[in-house]
Amino acid sequence: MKFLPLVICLIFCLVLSSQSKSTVSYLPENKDSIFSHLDKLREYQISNLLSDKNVSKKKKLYREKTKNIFESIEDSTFIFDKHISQKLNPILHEIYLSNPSINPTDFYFLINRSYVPNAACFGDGSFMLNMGLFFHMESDDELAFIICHELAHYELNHVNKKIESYIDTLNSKEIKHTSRAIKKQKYNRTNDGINLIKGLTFDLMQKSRQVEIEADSLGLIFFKNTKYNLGASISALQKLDSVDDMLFMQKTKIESIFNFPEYPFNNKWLKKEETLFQINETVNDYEFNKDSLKTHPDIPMRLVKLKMHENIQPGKSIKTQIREIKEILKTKHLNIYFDFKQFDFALYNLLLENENSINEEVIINTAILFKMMYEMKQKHRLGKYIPQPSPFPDEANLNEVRLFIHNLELKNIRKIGYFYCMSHEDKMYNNETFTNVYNFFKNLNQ
Amino acid sequence: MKNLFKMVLAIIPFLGISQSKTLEDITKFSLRNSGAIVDKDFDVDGYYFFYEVDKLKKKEREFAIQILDKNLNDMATKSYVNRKGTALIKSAFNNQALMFLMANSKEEFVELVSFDTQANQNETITVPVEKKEMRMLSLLAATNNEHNILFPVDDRGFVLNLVTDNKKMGYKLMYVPTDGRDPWELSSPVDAKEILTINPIEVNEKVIVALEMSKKSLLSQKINIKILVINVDDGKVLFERSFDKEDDPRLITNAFLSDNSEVILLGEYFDKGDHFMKDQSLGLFAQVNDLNGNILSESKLNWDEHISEKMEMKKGSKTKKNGYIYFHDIIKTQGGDYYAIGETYRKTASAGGIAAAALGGGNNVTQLTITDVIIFKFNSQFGIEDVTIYEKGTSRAPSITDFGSPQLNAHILKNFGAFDYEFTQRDVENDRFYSNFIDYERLKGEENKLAFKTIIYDDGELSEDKIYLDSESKVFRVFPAKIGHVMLLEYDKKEKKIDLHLESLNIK
Repeated sequence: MKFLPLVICLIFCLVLSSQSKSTVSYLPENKDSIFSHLDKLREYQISNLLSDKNVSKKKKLYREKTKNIFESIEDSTFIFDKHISQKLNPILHEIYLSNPSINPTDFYFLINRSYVPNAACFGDGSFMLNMGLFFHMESDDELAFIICHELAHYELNHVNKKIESYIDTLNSKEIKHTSRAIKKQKYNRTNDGINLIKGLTFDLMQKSRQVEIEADSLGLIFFKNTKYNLGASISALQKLDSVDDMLFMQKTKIESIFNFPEYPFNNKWLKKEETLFQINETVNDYEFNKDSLKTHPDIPMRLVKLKMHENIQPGKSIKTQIREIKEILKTKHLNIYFDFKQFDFALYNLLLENENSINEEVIINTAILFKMMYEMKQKHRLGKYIPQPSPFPDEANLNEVRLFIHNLELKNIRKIGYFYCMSHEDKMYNNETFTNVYNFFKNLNQ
Repeated sequence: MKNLFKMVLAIIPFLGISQSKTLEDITKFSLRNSGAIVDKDFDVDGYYFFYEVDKLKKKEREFAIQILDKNLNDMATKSYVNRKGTALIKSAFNNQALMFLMANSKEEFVELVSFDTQANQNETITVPVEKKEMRMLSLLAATNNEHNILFPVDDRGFVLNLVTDNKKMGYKLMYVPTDGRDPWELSSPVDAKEILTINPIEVNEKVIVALEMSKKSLLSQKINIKILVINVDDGKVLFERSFDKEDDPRLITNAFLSDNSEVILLGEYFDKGDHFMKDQSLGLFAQVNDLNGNILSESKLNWDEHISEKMEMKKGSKTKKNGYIYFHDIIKTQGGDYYAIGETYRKTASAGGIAAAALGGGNNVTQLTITDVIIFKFNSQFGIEDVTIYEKGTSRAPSITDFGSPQLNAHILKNFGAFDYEFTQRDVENDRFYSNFIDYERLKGEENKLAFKTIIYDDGELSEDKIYLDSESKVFRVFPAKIGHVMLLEYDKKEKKIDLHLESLNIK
């Protein structure tokens, strides 16, 4: 490393949120030093380009990539929580200590607030772990394997190779010549252009497939050196493979939770609308490869390859850190949904909690949610934040919650909020926040 | 521009913008037009975007139709090949098929392109249309928002409303079934001595109610109205009734078909010899007909006798502050009540017009001053029950002619969007209606505000909802959406970003 090592294994940040009531921080306290660190990492990448072709274009792209990360930080894409970092640290330390070849000096892990279980390596020493990953991984072992996989991407320099190869391909004589020739064509210009891009996409996908297999392979070597159970590599990948079906898998009991003797549940609130077509997915005559749209493509093939490396057997899992991270996130994720007005996610989770583990906090949050939805709907802003129901069968249970939210009229929200509070009044009479929300609905229903 | 090139980049997270301008250029889809797929009740079934994609050969083009559902979900993008200059004119949905009317004025044809419920394209229907016919068709579409060129018949088919160049201009209704039954055509007489146009306005599974208009020449302001009730099965006219100036002049504002297929006509009636375009009506009427054309009942409500009791304003008096009423729609509720929705207007002197005239300009010195929204409620016997006035800011529109009556100016200016009225959406299932207006609110001590106002009928009551269209940082525009909703286009001035979202209209 040519520059002074800035020791940021994890970024620990205190609350510096503009959203005063939130307990979640979306901006790091030491933002400037982080940005400056990422800038340095990028400049190091630029000074170590793999080839001397298209240098200015590559520099430009690297700078844009960093700028995008900065913008994402500024836009509150990530959460900064020292407790999560503290719980994640032991897993990282175990990987680093077991693999001395890895130099973690400049590593920087960002936690994305997305519910989609995913992770990414940005190629410069910065990595991203999604909040959804912590929810879907069941053991420290599984999480460790995913991290090992991302570290392998870094060690193999996959991202930078991909970026440079992408720029070199786009600027190759062949592509330039072909695209110029297409541009000069009088007829079939767009179709030929689309086919050219389809070809490039196919190549890109092929390469992606290959690098994923390579990262699995090296990741498995890193992982094998740790104390973790080797079988978790298989179970982690299997979970990611089925994630598109697993998200929002549980059906809520919306009809019974919002059914009150004085205000019975109205089936109209879940009535689906007629739609133009009876189809299960978007029909597009210009569509690219559908596999590319999957959250985690090619996992079945990766599993086969992974199993070829070792005789991997299921073993005993460690759940210490992941359990605690899940506990922390459990207290945070509703705040995140509230902060970003993701009332559909908030209601979905609260419905499950109302059914399975109702407590004072769940009751207060449900009541607050209805108050917030009322206020947003009144201002004609609810539709801006809550996607309209989809006509397709994916995420059916979340879709049902969205349907419910959008089918409710202002007067329904007003009454449901009121009767929900009334039904929990006896347990909550000494809770000030609850009383305030209840009074809000009492006034509306006078 | 929809750019497929950017889809490739989405594969690499945080990679940033594209690097090849050439590749971007050669994969551009050029947006030709877009619009809402709206039914007769102003309910939006979806939205379309029509792109030109590629030149395939000389005068042959590839287009793409992108279809969103009523919730703005991307449902389909379909390729469509036709001649250069083909335009998408109108769309409609009848629960069995989604139909698009294409037109090509140079190549002189219109084409019906439909998609079944699986989004597969059905066989197209091409109809040759002469240049003159196409011009007239375009004129009708451009000058009358309520002219239905393509009219859906739910679960049965579509009616294509074409212009024919006979001795004088006439019409041809082409019925295109989607339920496997037979097509039919209904044309105006080839030797008609007047220009004839038709507009289907109401339909059920048995009949289509259409308004036939006749006038001697294109510029003539003397228009006669005839109601035609047409059998959906075979296109035969079950009955027709003329509302001629000489016998029974009337302006039909709306028609409804009851559950037992009675045809209810609503509108304004006039004195014999008066003309609805130029003269003041005597009042409102509701006429119930059976399918043989027998008048089962008729109720008339005279401004002087009945309505003046309910409101201080006397219709027709030029000296009264409120002047005249322009009726935009008359709605029948499931309970049998009627609601007539109008705006008050009067003819006033235009300061700008006078100044310009004094300086030798050719401007008209009068204008229409449009003021409040007025809603009349009538019972099932058409007895007046209530009048509600919703105050709104004054709008002004320069008169088309200083010498014509205010009514004539109002009728013409209506087609130029001079009134603040936007549209009324009927929610038959919930027995509601939503009547929409634009209002420039003049507020004391505050900056004036542009607002989208909706008067909602629900459960026998009228209430009001309002969306302000300007704020310090954002500009909003409102477009029709599914029942009880509007589509808001939100422009963030600082971020220079556009956001589209559906918002429900709120019943207090």
